[in-house]
Amino acid sequence: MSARFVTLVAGVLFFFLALGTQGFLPFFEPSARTNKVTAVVRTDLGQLKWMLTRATNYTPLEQRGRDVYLREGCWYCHSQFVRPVTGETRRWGPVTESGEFAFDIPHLFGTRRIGPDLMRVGLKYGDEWHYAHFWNPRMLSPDSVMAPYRGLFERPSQTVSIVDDASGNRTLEKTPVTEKLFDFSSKEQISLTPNADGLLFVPMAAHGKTPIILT
Amino acid sequence: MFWLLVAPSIGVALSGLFNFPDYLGDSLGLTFGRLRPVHVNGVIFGAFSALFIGECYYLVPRLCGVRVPWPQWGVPLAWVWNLVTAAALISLPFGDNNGLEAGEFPLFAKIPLFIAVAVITVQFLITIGRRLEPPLYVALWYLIGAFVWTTMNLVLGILLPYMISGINSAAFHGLYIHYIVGLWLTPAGYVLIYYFLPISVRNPIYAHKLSLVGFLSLALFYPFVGIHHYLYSPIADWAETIAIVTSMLLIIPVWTVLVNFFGTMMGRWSTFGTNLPAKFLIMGSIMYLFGCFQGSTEALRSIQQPTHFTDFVISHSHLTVFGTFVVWAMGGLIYVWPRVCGRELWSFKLGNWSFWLITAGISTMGLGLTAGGLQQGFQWMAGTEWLDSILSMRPYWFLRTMAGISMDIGMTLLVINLMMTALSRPVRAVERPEFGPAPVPAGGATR
Repeated sequence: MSARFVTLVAGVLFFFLALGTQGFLPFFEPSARTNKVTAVVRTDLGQLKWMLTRATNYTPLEQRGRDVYLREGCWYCHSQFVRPVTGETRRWGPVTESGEFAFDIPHLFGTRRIGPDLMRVGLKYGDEWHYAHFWNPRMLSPDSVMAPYRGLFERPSQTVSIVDDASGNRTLEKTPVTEKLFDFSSKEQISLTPNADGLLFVPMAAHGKTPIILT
Repeated sequence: MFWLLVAPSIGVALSGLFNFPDYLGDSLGLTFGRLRPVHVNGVIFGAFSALFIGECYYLVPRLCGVRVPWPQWGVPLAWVWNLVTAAALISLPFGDNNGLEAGEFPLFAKIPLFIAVAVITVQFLITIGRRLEPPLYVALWYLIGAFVWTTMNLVLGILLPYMISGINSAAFHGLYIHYIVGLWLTPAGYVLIYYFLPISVRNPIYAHKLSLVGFLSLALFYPFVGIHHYLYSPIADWAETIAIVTSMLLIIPVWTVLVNFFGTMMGRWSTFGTNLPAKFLIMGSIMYLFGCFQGSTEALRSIQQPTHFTDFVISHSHLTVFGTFVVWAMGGLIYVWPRVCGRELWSFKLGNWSFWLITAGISTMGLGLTAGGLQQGFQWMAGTEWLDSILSMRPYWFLRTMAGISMDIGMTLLVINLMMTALSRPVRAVERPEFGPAPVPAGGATR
């Protein structure tokens, strides 16, 4: 009986022993508490230099993006760490360092890559690419299996119709939505082309200009 | 009283069994990112845990010879468990996600679940303390382990997403997620099969010594394996190595318990075809052999290079969590349910259909995802264009959906079967009332 009792207690103790060696001890590794990261910079002479710098906390906007990433479960399909094996550095970029995660609560490493790793994707695509991609990933990469995230967009309650302006051009109807995007009195014009479904993609460069519709 | 207890938890849990939304493939209105946690948590806390706890309320008093204290708490606890689980599962698609894989439930669910587990733990510990037979059967060892470990682990799950940052968050998350499968699902599954297999085939357990080796090696090695989820990450290499070594050592408990289960079947294979609970339990054991071989080997660094991030891991999790533990829980359910209702299983034939549909489904899924995962992993190593590696997965994903449908149909038939067992008032039972109080063999065990 007492031997049994000892083994049962030991079983429970192993839980704490494991928490200690696998959870708390790694925490005392200096590398686990650092915010040092290696960054690459381009000098005035155009050379690429590696330098050691310190990671900074997320800005409110970055934090908001992280919250959306977390809420939408992006991390079930996209990992956020690059391993030093299997040619991942060629595919994704430099191996991840612990300092890069210093401000992540909780971590979003991910365990499955149904889509590509996103650790080094930051500067790869422009805002417009992302707008189009979130609207319908298949518009940009036809074989993608990603879900469309149209729910993240503000959508006008009514469709906007195309009207003739005074000077014989075709432009968009003035509604609160279009007036927020465009400045109809501006001298600068921007040519826009709706697709066959009547979907009109408004690039960032069009903001504050007069829309001219080419069909 | 225990009957009342088993009924609601199992009933609602079975509706949880239908929560396998990601088998449905690309449902466009609801995105995978929102539904995946519903599937994972639904299976863990809904389908498996509710069944397991319900079946524990059946087997603990029988193994100890005394009743569970405060029996009046049982039904409210079952309602709390199921309502909270349902509410949390509903909240997940609405964007309530804290980023802790397998622990995504919001706090309003986690805290009641923790309290429920803690109360049930105390109930069972008191029952075991008052037991009439001094020897402690191995199922009870595992039961103590499962409940005590999980009570502690749920605390970790409550604190983790909000307190620890960076790679330490990942290290602790690795521990948490493998405590859920290793210190809850695994010992819980062992409780069920160690009780229901010997009793359904009416054979004593093959070797008690082996079962103790299994328990102790599980307790020794399983707590350490968590970080194998994040090999090659910036987490300290020595911690990763400890996780790999203990993952390999887990072959010891797995193979000892399996020797025990197949040994228990010795001399009873002739009745196997007509013994539905045993069929489920043994099929789960075969899946366990494959699933755990995958699990141990994929913890090795060299095997993890191609397999990590691929469907190989998904295959492993389905073979073990569904193929083994949910199947064992269903086997136990088929044994318990007719006895609770005091009548025979409604249809053995239908039950057999369920068995074969589920078996075919999970085998196909396991093989298909393993093959697909290996192919994709080696494609990535060979530098294949990303989208080409996705394209080559399409046939495997279709196969998986078909396998999932087969499993779903099997489980639906099983639920219909059990519901008919509970609802129908067979003429036989009226004609032969002597069947009432006596234990009624389930699943055609005596045919």
